[in-house]
Amino acid sequence: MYTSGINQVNGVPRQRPAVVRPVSQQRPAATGQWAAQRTAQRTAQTFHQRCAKITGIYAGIAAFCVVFCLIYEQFSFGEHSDAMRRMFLVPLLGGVLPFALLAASDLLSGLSRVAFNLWNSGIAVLVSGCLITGIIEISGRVSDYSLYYWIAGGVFLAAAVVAQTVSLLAVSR
Amino acid sequence: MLRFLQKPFAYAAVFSVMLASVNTFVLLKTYVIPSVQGYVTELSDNSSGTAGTTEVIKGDPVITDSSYADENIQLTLTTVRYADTDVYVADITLSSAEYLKTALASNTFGTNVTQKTSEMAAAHNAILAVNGDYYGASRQGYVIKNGVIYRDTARKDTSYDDLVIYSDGSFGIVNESEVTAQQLLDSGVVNLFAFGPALVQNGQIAVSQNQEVGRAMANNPRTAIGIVDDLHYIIVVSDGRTNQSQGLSLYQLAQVMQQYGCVTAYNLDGGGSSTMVFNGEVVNNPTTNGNRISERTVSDIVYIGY
Repeated sequence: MYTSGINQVNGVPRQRPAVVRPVSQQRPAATGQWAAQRTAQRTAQTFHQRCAKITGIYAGIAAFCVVFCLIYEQFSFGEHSDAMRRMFLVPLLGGVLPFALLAASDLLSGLSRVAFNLWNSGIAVLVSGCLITGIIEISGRVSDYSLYYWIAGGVFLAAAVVAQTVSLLAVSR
Repeated sequence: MLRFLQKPFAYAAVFSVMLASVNTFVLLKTYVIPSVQGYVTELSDNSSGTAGTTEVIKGDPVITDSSYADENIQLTLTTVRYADTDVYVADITLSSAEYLKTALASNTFGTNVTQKTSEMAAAHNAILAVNGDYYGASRQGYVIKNGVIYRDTARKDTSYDDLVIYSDGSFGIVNESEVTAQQLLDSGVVNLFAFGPALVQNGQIAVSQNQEVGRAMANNPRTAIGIVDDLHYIIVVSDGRTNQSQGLSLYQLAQVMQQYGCVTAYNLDGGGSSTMVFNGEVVNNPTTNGNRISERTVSDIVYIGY
């Protein structure tokens, strides 16, 4: 669906070697509309399952952020940082929410690998920003670098959206 | 590039290393890597500082374990127990304000330029020294030490006031949003502390029972300085975070300063920074986490000396 070019040799699609099965093992020929529907169903099912799995991973990351913050505050002599306390919101709103939505709906039937990587990167940068800002604030200092994290994270997320849009447009053509 | 972005594990590995490197750099830049912006001697050449211009007659000082007295400086150090905490109180009377001084770590202005309070005290022959406002923890906030403006950028969070010490030794409380560093210097300010909050103003406690530094809501080691009368000062350091000493809240610290008659008192950097040095010896139990009694390095000190 989202061909990347990596399965091409000198511009010619790489052919899989033909598999010759005994007649007894040959599948009945699937033809026409039924075959197309079955392929689409399988693709959608796989994508939904994958999104559900990613949702679970992001939920775990959000939970880890909460636990990390609680433990860190236990050793911070009463100090706390709003940035660190809100750290869990990043994987929650940027990971659990969108991927749960994708898993439960038919908004998308696939996700560009580039967009997926960029989106994850954006979430990672924003979580790092919350973490570093929190550590610095709790130590009584002022972070001069927080803004750069927010900008970089935003750029990654925006780039992910652009990459996915470009991918969809390419497919629609 | 596009191919690389499509490789899930290679991309994740490289990106993780890069992000970890950036995080490490930010933490090192914040806590470790020194950034020197000037030296005391160089900056003092252009200053209108008043310290050290008078010929000093000391006489023979009388020094005991808990006191110092000469022609110009009378100092008594007492340890009291307050709120399950050891509190070290220095009662100081001077003949001139020029004996109340500040010093920067390694005589250098910059971030992450630090030195132990005891080392700075020794370098300046301080009779009594405590940690200052740790100006190096932030890149904002006025820094005026010994009549020299080292930083004139107002701190963003102006919810706390600054303590200023004028050339005649009197104290004042100012807010950086209302006055510039140059205006302060022109009005006779020789030292400024940008930590806070003000503990006592006009003889009244100026903090609420729940007020804390930043967002902390715990008892901690503390350092505070206050003025009782002309050239009569109280400097207090409290222990904390140990089994022997719980530490003080800001309100409790304000109570101590008020009990000693301070009309103006101000909270300096506390926690692991809180250190008092008298005659070359650390008198309190400085600790960052309570597990180990150890002096922390700080940006600056306030001291009594020649």
